[in-house]
Amino acid sequence: MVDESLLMIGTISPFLPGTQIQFAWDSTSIGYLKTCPRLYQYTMLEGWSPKSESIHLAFGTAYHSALESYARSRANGVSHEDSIHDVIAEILRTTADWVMDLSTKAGKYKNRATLISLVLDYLDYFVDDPTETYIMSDGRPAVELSFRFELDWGPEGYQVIEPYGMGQPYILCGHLDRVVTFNDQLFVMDHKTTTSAPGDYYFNQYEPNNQMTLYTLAGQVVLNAPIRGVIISAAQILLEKEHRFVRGFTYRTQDQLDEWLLDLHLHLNSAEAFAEAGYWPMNDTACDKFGGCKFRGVCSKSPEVREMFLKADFVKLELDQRWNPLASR
Amino acid sequence: MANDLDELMSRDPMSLSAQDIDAIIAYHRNQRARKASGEKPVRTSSANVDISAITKKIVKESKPAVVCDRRG
Repeated sequence: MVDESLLMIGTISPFLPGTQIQFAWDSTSIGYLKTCPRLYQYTMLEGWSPKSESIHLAFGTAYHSALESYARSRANGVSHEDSIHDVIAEILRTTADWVMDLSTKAGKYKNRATLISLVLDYLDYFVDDPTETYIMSDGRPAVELSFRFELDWGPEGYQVIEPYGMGQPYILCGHLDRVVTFNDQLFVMDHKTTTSAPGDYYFNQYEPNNQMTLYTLAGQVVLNAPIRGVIISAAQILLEKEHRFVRGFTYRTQDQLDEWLLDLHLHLNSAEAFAEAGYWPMNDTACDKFGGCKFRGVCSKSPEVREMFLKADFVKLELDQRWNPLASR
Repeated sequence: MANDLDELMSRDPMSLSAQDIDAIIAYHRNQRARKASGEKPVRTSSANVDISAITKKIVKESKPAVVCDRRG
């Protein structure tokens, strides 16, 4: 078994020692694998990251952090106005070193000023939020809830791994933004920011959806409670008009959760086979999805020159900077 | 108190007073109200903003709502 004390400080590798076999998975890494094993290889195994990606990650992280702080503050009895004051002060402190290129689309939509206005508008819009933060049995609000739980199977042929001992199982992990009650039912709430209109077309992407199914499952396991599904709280960033906030519901039945786990078993078996072969095949039917894969310009080149194109357009992150499902927040 | 949002935003955040934070909040609420009324928003990167004037204006309140897409 994994030493829990190592898990909590977030320094452990999600891979079995000396292998490319990942035993700790979150929705992001599962999503890479399902979308395209080559995407998974470039991102998770080799740590390639687009030079322009950090702005989206930084904005999303700061947005989530602000809403988390507000929810904790309100759960502790602090007033709306005082909570907002503290949250905006926190944003100003944590984003002080942001340097945004306002001539780019990303910079125009995602900068300190739009972050402050988006958070402020969201919190004012939902000042009388019809959803309520779930209070766990220990009295803590279920906000930014990290989860890690073991599956009842592990990598085949790697059942004795030192120093972990016998039978390392697969672990599912991640972070739930918030668990809420709405109309006497429990839901995970997940915050999203978008520059596109959050209508039917937007919400349809979450049904079916790897992340939302995992979050429903995780909510049930961690809270031992009947989570019905996920409320997607979408915030559309607008420059000329008021920001727009829309929430959509996506439900999961127990049979859907069981099916997702069965499929995951087969996907992870495939990942193990790819790792043992040292080859991660390209899924060339996924290259044009979601506006085009970030590695499309690389994969479209002949194999012998791909490394050159990777180095030109991407940075190879150090091991401790790469996406790690076990990293603590 | 400074009367320019850009200047406030560019300051060391640890040096901002509670009044400075309130002024920034008031500015953004005012911007929201102006957008709601159809006015073009002020671009802080290219124009100076008189914070003290803004804080005196009444900010329109938003009403909370949930749009429920029944699925599944």
